[in-house]
Amino acid sequence: MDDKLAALAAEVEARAQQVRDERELDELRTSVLGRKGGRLSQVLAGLGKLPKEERAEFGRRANEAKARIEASLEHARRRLADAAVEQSLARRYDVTFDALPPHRGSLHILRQTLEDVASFFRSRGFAIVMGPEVETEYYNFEAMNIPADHPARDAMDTFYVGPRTLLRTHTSPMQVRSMLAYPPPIAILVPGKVYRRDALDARHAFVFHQFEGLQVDRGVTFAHLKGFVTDLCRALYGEDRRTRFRPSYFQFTEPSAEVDVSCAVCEGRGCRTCGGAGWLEMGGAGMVHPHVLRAGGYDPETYTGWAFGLGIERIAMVRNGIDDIRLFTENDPAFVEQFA
Amino acid sequence: MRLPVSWLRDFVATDATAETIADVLTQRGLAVDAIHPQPTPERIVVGKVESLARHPQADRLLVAAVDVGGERLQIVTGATNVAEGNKVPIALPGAVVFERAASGARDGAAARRPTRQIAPTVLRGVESRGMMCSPDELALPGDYDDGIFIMDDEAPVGAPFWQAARFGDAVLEVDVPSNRADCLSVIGVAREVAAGLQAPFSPPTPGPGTGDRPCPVRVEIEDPDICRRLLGQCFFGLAGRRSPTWMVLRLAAAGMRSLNFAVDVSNFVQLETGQPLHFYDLAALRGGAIVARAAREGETVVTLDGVERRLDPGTPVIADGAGPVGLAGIMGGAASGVTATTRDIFVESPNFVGPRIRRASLALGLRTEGALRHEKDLPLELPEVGRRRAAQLLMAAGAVPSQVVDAGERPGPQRRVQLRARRVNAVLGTSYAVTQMKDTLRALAFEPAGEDDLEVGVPYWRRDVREEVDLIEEIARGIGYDTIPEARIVAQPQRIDESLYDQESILVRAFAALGYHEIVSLPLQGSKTVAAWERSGLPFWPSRVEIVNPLSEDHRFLRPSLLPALLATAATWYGRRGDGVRLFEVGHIFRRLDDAPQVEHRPEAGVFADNGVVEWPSLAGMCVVEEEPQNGAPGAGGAGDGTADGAAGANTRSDGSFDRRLLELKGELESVLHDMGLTELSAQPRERTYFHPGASGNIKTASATVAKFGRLHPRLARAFELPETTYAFSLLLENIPRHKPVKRFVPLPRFPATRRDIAVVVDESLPAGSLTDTIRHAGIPHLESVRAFDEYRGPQVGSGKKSIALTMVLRRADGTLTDEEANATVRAVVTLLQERFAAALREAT
Ligand SMILES: [Zn+2]
Repeated sequence: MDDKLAALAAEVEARAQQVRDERELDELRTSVLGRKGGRLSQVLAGLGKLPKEERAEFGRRANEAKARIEASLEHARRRLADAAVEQSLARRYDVTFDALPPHRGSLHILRQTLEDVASFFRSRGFAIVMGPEVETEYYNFEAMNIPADHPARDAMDTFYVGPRTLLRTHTSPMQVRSMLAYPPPIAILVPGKVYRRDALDARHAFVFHQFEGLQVDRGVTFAHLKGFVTDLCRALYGEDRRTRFRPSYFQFTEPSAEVDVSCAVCEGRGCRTCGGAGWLEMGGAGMVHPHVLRAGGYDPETYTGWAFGLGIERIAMVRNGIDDIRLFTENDPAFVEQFA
Repeated sequence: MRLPVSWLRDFVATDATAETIADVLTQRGLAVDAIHPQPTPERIVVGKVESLARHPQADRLLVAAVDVGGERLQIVTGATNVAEGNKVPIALPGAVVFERAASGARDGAAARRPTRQIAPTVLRGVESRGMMCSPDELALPGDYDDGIFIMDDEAPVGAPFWQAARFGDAVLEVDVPSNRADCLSVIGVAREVAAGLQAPFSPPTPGPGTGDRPCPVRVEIEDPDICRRLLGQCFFGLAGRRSPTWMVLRLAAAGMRSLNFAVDVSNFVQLETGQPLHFYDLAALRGGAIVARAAREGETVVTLDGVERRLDPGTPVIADGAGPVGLAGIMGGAASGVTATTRDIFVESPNFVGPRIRRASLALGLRTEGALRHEKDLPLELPEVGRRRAAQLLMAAGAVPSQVVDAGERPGPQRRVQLRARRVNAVLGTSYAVTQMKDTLRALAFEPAGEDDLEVGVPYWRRDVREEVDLIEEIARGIGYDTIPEARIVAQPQRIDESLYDQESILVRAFAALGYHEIVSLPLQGSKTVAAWERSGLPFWPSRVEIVNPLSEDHRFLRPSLLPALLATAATWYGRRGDGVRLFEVGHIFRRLDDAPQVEHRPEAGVFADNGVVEWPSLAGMCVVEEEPQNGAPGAGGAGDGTADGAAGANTRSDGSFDRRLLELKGELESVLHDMGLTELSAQPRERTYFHPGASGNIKTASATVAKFGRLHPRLARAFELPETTYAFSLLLENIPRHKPVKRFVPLPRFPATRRDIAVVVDESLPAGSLTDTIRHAGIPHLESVRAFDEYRGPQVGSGKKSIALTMVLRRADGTLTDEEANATVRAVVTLLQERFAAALREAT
């Protein structure tokens, strides 16, 4: 019996060294250690026939042999594992194949732009509010100091959907709506779609996106407007950008200004992008007109404020070098993927 | 407004270049949009055509003898509009002139046309030593009659042309803000230029310009709501006058074509002073009076443009004894118009009520120069200014004036506005001195008085300056916005509801993370959208908010849904990119309120319903997924036994109800909604016209529907050339929380879970959700969760039946679940389903 055990152990040890893969190793393990019909159990089946006094000794030897068998199998397993690693290490992969694109979604370039604007305003303590696109003449015009039959309404050719009901021509109606909803001081950013009855071409859209900044508090001055807008333009277009304030006319602000930013393409020398002017028109701004403050229930003697409105398409066109406003709403896959 | 710089120089003594002047104007709020330089070629002189004779060798050529001052030149010309005695511009040998333009190419392009040099030449045997110039060859701005440019008879022979014409500087395009009616005039703009350059300013100062003869026409104002003041005067003996060259060129540069002397004068005065005038042929006025009144029922007038207009009652008109002779302030009548042969004229210099003119002008679609000025409510002083200037010009041409007739209001006292100097600096953030403020105001003819609390007299032409803040703007503008410092102020903390924006931000990120691309489409849609949709045979949304004044058929209503644009976009993407298209959009959608009376006005949730229109934000999306083969690979449709029959990708299986794509979409929506704090969700089938009737549903919370989703109706898919495996969804944002909730930590399970799967056979019509809902709410011990994940139909379960596969997670909180306990739980489930649905256990593992 002892001899059989030793021989089996030796044989397994020898065969284990010859094993070439996991499958052969498994076969060997099963043939030797399998519960039913394994060779070790066959040998051990003879245990019952042994005299009682020999059983303990044989049991000890059997365990030794089993341990030896398991050790050689384990050794073989490690050898195979090491060999597998070596084999894997020997492989060479071609990293110069073209990348496979990930299945990512994307945010529209206008939203990306708005989010940059929004994070600037939020960093300055402004809250972001949104309002309706179908507006009343009152909020769109009268509250903004543009009375009926006033020629200033021409500048904002208006779509109507009903009597005294229109598609807002600017985000400014939210100035008065917000002032009526919240007591002073107030600092808000209003993004949204606005509508102008304007033919669609490379530079004009009858629907576009605008945002409106409004800050009203005691002691707010035109100088604060300049500081804020200058910082915003730097944040959006780069630290080197200069801003210029030109007098302009809006019914709802006074003094009013047109804000220009120095052209990033030509550094102000004049080029095609800026039409040779060296400056790009950014948007309108000004000190909130007392009439508007009163419409919002604020006392213009106590509170002053500024407002600033800007087209989001305009920012993206300048920042991202997009030369046709129609591209934003055509949703061509090639366009969307460029800004994904 | 187009402004020849030479005209400005008539009133401002400055050497500043056109560019500098443009800069000054821009800095003062009159943006110069373009500068059109005027080339002034040398060696162009005024020549007088002494004689004209036929060319001996050529029928179509003439030989002219031209006096160019001390010298007589023989010039051969093909011109047909020149007569003996005419004065014309002559290009002397050596002059460089421009090629004639192709018809229609004018102005800015003129200066860039090719040039040629004039040299002595022999034409068909006759020597020619110079050339008579057409406007094109001198690159003159504007439109002219064909042929040689004929100058006025007073032009000095031999003088350089540009000097004689008092012309030759650039033309500026000035963008006049709508409040600055005073700057719709050369004088008004010149005043700004003079103030900006601190240069002397000398506007024309015509005398009274009146005569002794009584005016044969009386003026009356019948309706003071139309006309405030009506000033008139006759001029006699005018026929045959040629307009001065300088006037012709100034008008042309400003965009007005020279017609005849009288009309030119009226246009010239309007441009120069800003006061619109109308000249009548005195002989054509009937009844010895004109009256400003509202049109009466049935009245018509043929306007100068030759159009017969039926007048709505109330339209402002000027009428003579026999009826309307013109649209007040907008356009004169053809019958009483002035021509080159008119001898005696009646000049009307009116002041109308702006809004009345504006309404009529918009209604008639006649946005004339006169209307654009009158609608701004011009000052009552201006009619006299305009009349005097016209009188000066007409009398200079030999016309004899009558007395002046004048009806209506007279100018009131000067407006005075209070101005607190400290308020100026408080609004601007500046530290301007009071003297600086006063000087700035004086430069624009304001009259400030006082030391700190100022009282400021406002010049009559500045009707836009009414209150303190208007003066503050004048000061800021005058001193220069660039002198205002930059300052920073921190916004006070506020409690403003930003949740609409927050919700949108969170959700767009979520869908982008799920692989969807955001698109932005036009909310104005029209027949194209409807036609594309209805090609499917399915109805478009009937409730549409129509635009009263649409730009075009294709943009005549507000979108009732985001789906049509998504579909059209998906079709493009699918055509270009194949499947895998995933798109979404966030935006407002619109319905008529009478079609949705149940909608509440909830502005805090973004729902607006107070304008007769319901408007609310929506998020919708769609995905076009891979079409699977009819006999797909085994197992491709799911993990359960249900797909083992080989009809994988259950969405194409004719008899199954398991659509893996639909459920993946549902899973995406649920995961997004879970993130927003909605955990108790259920889905129910709900038919919608645009979805496959058997593959569409709602996701609901206990109280509201929060999402719609489904497979696109196959007809709709086909209409857009999309595969049947196109899915769409929309979120009802108003019913979804606008903030992500803070998630509470739940202690991690300490004991392992056991998974058990069963398959039960039930009636074919029973939704899987009924099984799982019932199980979830039965309170079965140790059952942590259950999911229905597949189905099987076929011979093994019999007709009218189906097998639903359920997977359950079982766990004890206080110890490891024993096999016995697990079996008991499964038995409890099976018993429950047997009792409730007569379900038969088919398999358990
Ligand atoms: Zn540039």
